Amino acid sequence: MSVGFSYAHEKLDSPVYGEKSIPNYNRERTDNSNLTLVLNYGVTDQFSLSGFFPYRYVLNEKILFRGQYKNQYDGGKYYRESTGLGDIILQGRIKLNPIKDHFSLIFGLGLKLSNGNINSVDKYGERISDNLQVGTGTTDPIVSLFTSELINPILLSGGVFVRISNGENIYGYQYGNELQALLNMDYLNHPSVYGGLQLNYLKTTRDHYEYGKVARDRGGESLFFAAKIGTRISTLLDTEIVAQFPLKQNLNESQLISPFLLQLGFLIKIPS
Amino acid sequence: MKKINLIIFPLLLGLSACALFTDNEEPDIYFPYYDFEILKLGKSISDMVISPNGEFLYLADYSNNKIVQINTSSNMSVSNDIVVGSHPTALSLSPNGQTLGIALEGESNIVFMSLNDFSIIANYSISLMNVNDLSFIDSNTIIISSKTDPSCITLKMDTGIEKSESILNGEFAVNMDSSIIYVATHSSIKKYVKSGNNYIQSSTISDAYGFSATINHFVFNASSNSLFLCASNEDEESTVKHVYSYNGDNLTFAGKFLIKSPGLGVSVTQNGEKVFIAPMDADPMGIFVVEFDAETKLEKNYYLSAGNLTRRGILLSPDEKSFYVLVDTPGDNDSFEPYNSNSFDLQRINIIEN
Repeated sequence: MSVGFSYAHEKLDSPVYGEKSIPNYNRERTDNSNLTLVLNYGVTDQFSLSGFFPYRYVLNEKILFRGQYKNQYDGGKYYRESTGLGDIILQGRIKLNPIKDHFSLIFGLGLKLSNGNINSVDKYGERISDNLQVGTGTTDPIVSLFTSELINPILLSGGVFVRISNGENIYGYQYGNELQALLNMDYLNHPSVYGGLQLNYLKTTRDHYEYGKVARDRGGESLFFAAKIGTRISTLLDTEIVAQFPLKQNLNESQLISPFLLQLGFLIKIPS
Repeated sequence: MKKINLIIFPLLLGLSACALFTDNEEPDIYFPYYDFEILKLGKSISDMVISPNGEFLYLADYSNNKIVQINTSSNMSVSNDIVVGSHPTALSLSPNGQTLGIALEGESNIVFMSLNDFSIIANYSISLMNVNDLSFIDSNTIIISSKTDPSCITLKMDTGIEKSESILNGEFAVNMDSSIIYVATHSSIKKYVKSGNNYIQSSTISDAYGFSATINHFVFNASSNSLFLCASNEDEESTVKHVYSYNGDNLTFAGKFLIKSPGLGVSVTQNGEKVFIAPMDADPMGIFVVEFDAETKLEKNYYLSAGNLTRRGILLSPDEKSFYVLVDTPGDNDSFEPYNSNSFDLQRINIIEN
């Protein structure tokens, strides 16, 4: 049994069009903060259950032009925010050893639930955009595959995470599919400190709104580079700090991106 | 065999999942994003004109009492400026493009500048106060309107001789040979036809707008013999939502260009086929200059601007490959300078060729 906490924050304030940087006329920015509780329980040596419980805070701010928003016709500073428990992910993981003592595979199958709130409103009582809500409103299947190999003192690992969109929420909004691939290299020479480098590829397809219309400004692909440093304070407690930077991003139409993402993690192992 | 299946199964699952990540659909995009240029000025600009060859723009810098010359070749840059008097409010270029007439709102003076050497050649006191518009009607004569005096005057550039005209005040639009002056007043458009040395009011008057308007821009297009009127009013219940056009002969209503906003400025191609309108209000996606097809009166292209637009703040380049707009981006108006709340920059946008 292990209990983990992970806190991640990103500030999306740099608009791009495709791969090109563009001006931010509305001075728009979005802060995404996630505090995630991760529970992992080993049922057997080969099978475990995991749960991810994210508590989210999303804040979007911009300066409106006159007439841009009917409820604030004269323009000016405007914000939208949502907070609360986001969609919970439950997953079963099975450990496979196709090649004896090498490249163990962990295959995961699970669901992203639809428990997160999708009804947050702005100060005028108008429901805010789906992509600023803490929940998605749909239950989606997720599949993951993870492998690792220790070549002392280097731990190589990699994995793929897939979320398949399962229809529209009650407001007719359907998120696109998501594919995330990770390549990880950790240096484990010290008993209590380790460092690592990571490549992270993210591909999302376009969202749809109003029950089938293709959304603009959504979806695309990104390649991130991340550096991390971790400590094993004791045999029962690990900490990790990850700083992630975009290497290349090609997004559909104009979207806000973040110049970096900061993540802080704790893992507490509870002996059985 | 069992172990091989354990590898193949997840791999096949992964591959089939990858097939879900091909985006074949495209959204309906009504405006592309074009790269465009912005020249940071941070000034309150009340009017602008462009030289006939398109090489220089001249801006009336209302707050700093200056005329600013912009070199438009390659990258835009400020090439010169000169103090001309209190609050320049309107500009007019002489027919040969060598002289600039400048109306001052803050003093009862009209200034003439030579654009050959960017210097003031004449400065005349006039009898009008609160001048709001002026226009050359020949190479030596300019007509001037005021917000408060009911009648207009003409002024000779070489002698400074002033003459009262029986033309009511308003915004001017003058036809090609200056034989007709159109005046947009707060309630309707009037037409004045040259007869000898005087202008006589025609019996033809446009229908009343139906509201009391502030005229933001008034333009005559010779090819289509049409007038284009941008107006707004303060009354929320009858806020103007369109730009109107009128027939130059009989001032009948010739078209309504729907932009769901009062118009601040309009510019028309020389052949009269394309109409570019600067709206006052933003769309939820941003503020767009809207290109209309003059024949169908329908939107043809949308051009994203960098901020709020302003009256008389749009101008086509003579080659009609681009246009200039004055833009005020929200959030960049923080200034420690007292009384400085508007900071307009100059944006050049390339026109879509279709």
